[in-house]
Amino acid sequence: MGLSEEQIERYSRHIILKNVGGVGQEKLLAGKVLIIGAGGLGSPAAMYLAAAGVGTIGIVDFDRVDLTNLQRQIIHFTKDLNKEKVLSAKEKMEAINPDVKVVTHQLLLNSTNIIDIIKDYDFIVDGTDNFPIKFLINDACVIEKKAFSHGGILRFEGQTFTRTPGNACYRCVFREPPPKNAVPTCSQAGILGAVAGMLGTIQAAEALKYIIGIGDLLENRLLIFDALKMEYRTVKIKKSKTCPICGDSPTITKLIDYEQAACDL
Amino acid sequence: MSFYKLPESLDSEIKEYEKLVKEYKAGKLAAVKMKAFRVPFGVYEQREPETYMCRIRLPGGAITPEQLTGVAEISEKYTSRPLHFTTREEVQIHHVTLEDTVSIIKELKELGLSTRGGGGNTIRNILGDGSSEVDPYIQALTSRLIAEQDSWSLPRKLKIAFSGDSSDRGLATCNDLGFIYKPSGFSVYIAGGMGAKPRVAAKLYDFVPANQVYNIAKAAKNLFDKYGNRKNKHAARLRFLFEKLGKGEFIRRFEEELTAVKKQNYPSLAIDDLPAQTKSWQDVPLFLGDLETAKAKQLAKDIESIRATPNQNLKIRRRGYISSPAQAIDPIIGRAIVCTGADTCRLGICLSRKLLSAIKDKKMGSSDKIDDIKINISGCPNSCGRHHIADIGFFGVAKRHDNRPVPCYTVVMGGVVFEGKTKIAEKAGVLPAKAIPDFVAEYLKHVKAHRKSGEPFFDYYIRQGKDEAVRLIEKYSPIPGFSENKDYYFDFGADRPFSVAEKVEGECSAGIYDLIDWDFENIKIAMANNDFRRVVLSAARALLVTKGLEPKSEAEAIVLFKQNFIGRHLDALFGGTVDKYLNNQEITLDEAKGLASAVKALYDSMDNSLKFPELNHKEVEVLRSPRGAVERDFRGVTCPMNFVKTKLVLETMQPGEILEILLDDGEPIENVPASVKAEGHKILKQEKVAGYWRVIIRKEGGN
Ligand code: SF4
Ligand SMILES: [Zn+2]
Repeated sequence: MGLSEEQIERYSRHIILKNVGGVGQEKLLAGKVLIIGAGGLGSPAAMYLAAAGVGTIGIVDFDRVDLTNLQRQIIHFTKDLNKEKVLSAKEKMEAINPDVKVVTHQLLLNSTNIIDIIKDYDFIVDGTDNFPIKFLINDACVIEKKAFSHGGILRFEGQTFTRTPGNACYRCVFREPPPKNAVPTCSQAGILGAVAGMLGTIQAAEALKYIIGIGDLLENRLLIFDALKMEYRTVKIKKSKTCPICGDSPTITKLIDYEQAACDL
Repeated sequence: MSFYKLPESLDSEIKEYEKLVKEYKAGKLAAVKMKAFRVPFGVYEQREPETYMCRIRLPGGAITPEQLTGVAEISEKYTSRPLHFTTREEVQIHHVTLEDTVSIIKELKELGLSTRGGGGNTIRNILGDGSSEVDPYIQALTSRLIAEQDSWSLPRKLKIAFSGDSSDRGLATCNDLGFIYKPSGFSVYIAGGMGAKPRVAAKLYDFVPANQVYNIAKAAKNLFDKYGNRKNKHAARLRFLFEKLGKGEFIRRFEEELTAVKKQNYPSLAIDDLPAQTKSWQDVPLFLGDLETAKAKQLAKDIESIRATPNQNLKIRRRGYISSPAQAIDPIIGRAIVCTGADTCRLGICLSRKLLSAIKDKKMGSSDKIDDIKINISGCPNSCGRHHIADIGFFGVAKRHDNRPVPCYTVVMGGVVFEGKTKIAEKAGVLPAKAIPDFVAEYLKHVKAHRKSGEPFFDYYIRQGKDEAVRLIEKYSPIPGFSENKDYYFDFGADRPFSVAEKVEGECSAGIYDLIDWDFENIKIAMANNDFRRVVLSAARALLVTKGLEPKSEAEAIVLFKQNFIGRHLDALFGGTVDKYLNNQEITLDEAKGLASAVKALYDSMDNSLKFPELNHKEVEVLRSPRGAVERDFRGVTCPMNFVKTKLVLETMQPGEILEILLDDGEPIENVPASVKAEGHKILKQEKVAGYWRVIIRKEGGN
C-alpha cells in the first residue's frame, strides 16, 4: 500500500524501530481495535492508539461526560461536560491523527449485541470496571476467538493480562463475578487518576504489539502493580481444563447477562 | 560611584546579545553560535542544561556598598541562590534562565557593572590585593583595556594581577602579567599561570616607573595577539608561548612590542590619588565564596568599602570606628579555596565542595587542627581551586579499580606565593576521595606533634619535605573491591556510582584522559610482565570511555571494543586477537604488541571532540546484484528521516540486493550507516565524494 511522505514523517519514530519498520506501520494502519469504555483506561488507550496510527478504532460507551470523570478520563475536557463520551473521544482522536477512522458505538453492551460489535475488530481493549461486563467481554472474545486485553484498577492498584486464543482466559482464573457489593466499585473506593493512565497505556502497548506481531504479550501471566509502593510483579496464570468457557467441556454455551453494579471508571 | 568605566560599545553589544538570545530561544540559532557570543558576555551554562550564571567583572575585587546592594537585589529577582564570589574576585549570579540573563545584564549596567569579558578570549578580571597603592591602577587599566576593540579577540584569555607588596596576595607571580608595587613604580612578572600546566611567572623587570603600566600591558597584549597559538586552545596561553620561544627570545619580542607601543605616545593611565587609608581591612570569611543576598544587603549597610579576595572571602572597612569581630568560621575552611566542582561545573570530575565539607566534618581533636594551613581543592586538573598554591592541594582525577571508575584526587604539597619565592606545589600521590578526610586528620596530627612551637607550616614543610605525607598516602591509597566497600565508588554526597563517561559530550573532560592514560600505563606494565592477556584487555578498554561506554566486566569491555572499534576504526584482523581473549586462547607477543600499538596510534589521531578517523573501506570489493544497485539520493534529508527512508527502501528489496545512497557530510554520514548496520545489513563501502558521501549497502536477512 505504501506510506505517504507525510506518513513517513509522522510515523518515523515507529519506522526507525528495528522490529517495526515501514511494514509494521502498515500493519497498524490496516489494524482494527475496539476499546470498550471511554473512561479512565479507555482514554489513554484511545489517544495512544490513535497517535500510533491504528487505522480503525471503535469505541463503545453509553455515558455522557460527567464532572467526576475529568480527574482521570483525560480524553474528555471540561468543555465536553454532558457530551456523549464516544463523540468527545472521537473528536480528540481525529484531532490527534486524521489517518484514523473512529467508529462510535453509543450503547450498553449485553449478551445480544456484543458479538456483532466485536466481530469486526482484531483486538479488544477492555476498559470497563464492572465485573458482569468483564465476564461478558471475556466470554464473547473466547467464543469469537478474539484477542483482548483485560484491565482492572482500584485505588492505587492495577492488573492486566492479554488473552489470545488457546491461552488462559479470565474465567480460567476467576470463575464467576463476585457477589454484588463484595468488591467496592471505584466510585466507592476511589482511584488515583495516573494509575488509570499507567494501565491504559500498558493495554495500548499490548494492542500495538499484537497487531504488529512482535514481542511477548502478557499471555498466561497477570501483571499486577501497586503504585503506592511502585512495584510491579507478574503472576503465572494457567489455562484451566475445567474452565466453564474455554475448558475441555465448556458448560457455558450461551452468553450471560449478570446483574450489573454500574460504575463508570 | 563606580570603579571602572563601562565601554561605550556596551549598549549596542547588549542589544545584539538580546537579539541572539531571542533567536536562540525561537530555535533559529545553533547552540554553538549562542555559546560563542554568550561566553564572552560572562554568561556560562551550568551543569543542568539551560541553567546559566552571570559573572560580573569586579577589578581588584572592588565593589561599592551601593553596587553590592544592587547586585543582591537583582539576584533575588531571578534566583534564590546566594551570590558567589570567585577566585578571580568576581561575583556571580547563579541558576538563572537565559532570557533572564538579558534583563540582568541590563540592570547591572545601571549599576555601572558589566559581565562582558567574564569569559572568552579577552582581558579577564584584573586581580588585586585591595591595597590603596594598586587599586587605582587596576581600575584605570581595566577601563582602558576593555574599551579597546582588539582586546576581545585574543588567542586565549589574558590574566593580569597586581599586588601592593612582596607578600603578593594579588598573585602577581602566577598570572600572565603581574605587577608588584615598589615605591613610585612596580616590579613586573610575565608568563605565569595555573591551570592544568602551571608555571611560576618570570621576572620581566625589577622596576618600572608607574607611568609605564599601560604600555607594558599593551605590549603584552600585542605580543600575545601576534604570536599566541590560535589553533590549539590547550596550548594557547602566554606561558606556552614563553616556553616555546625560550626566555631570551620571548623577552626580545616583548621589548620589540614595547618599543612600538612607546612610539604611539599613549597617554599614561589617569590615576586619581585616593585619600590615605587609616583603617585597616577586616576579613569576612565566606563558606566557599557564597553570600546570601540578605546578608549581602545587611553587610552593605555598615561598611565604607569592600573587596573580594582571591580566596573567595571579603575584606571590609566598617563605617565609624567600632569594629565587631568577624564571624567565627573554621580557619581551615576560611582559608580554603575550592572550585565549584562537578556540582555545577561541566568539566568537573569530582565533587570538590563536598570533599571540603567532609574534611571539615572529620572529627579532629581541636588540638590537632592547624590554623595556618591552607587546603585548596579543584574538581579537576584545571585548578580553578588553585591547588597549586596550597600547603596541601587536591585536584580531582578518575582512577579505575575493580573495573569501575573511582573518584580520586591527586595530592600536591608545599605551594607558596611570595615575590621571589613563589613555588608550585609538588605532587605527592593519589588518594581515593573517600580516604582523604582520614589522611588529612592523621597528617595534621603528625605535623602538630613534630613542628617547633610557632613554626609556620611552610617552614616545617621545607624542613621535613613530603616523605611523611607520601608514607601516609601509601597507607590510605588502597581501594577496596566494589563488593567489599561500595562507598569508595561513590563521590561524597552522590547517590549514584561515580562515572566519567556520562560527562562526555564532545567536551574534553580531563578525567577521560586520566582513564585512558591509566590503561596505557597498564599496557606498559603488562608488557613488561609478558602478561599479554592483560595487554589486550587494557588496549581494548582504553578508548571505550571516549564513546561514553563504561564496561562493568572484562568480557564486556572486549565485546564493546569489538562492536565499536573493530572494523570501524581498526582493521578487522584485530578482531581475531580479541576473540582469542574471549576464548581463553593463548595470545602471542606480536598480537599483543600489534593491538596495543594500533590502539595507541588511534588515540594519537583522536581529535578534540573525542572522534576517531573511520576506516577506509576502499579495499572491499563491491558486489553488484544481477539487476544492478537500487539508487537513492538522500542529500538534503536530515537525520533521522534519511535513515527512515533508507530503511523503507531496504524493506522493498530482496536479501543480497545492493542499495546505493548519497548522504550529506556531518550528522548524516555519522549516523545512517551505523543505524543501517544495526538493522543487520552490510555496509560494503562508504566514500566521500566532494562534500557528500556515497554509501553502498547490501540487504541482508529478511525484513
Ligand atoms: S577546577 Fe575543574 S571542576 Fe573545578 S571549576 Fe575549574 S574546571 Fe570546573
Ligand atoms: Zn478459560
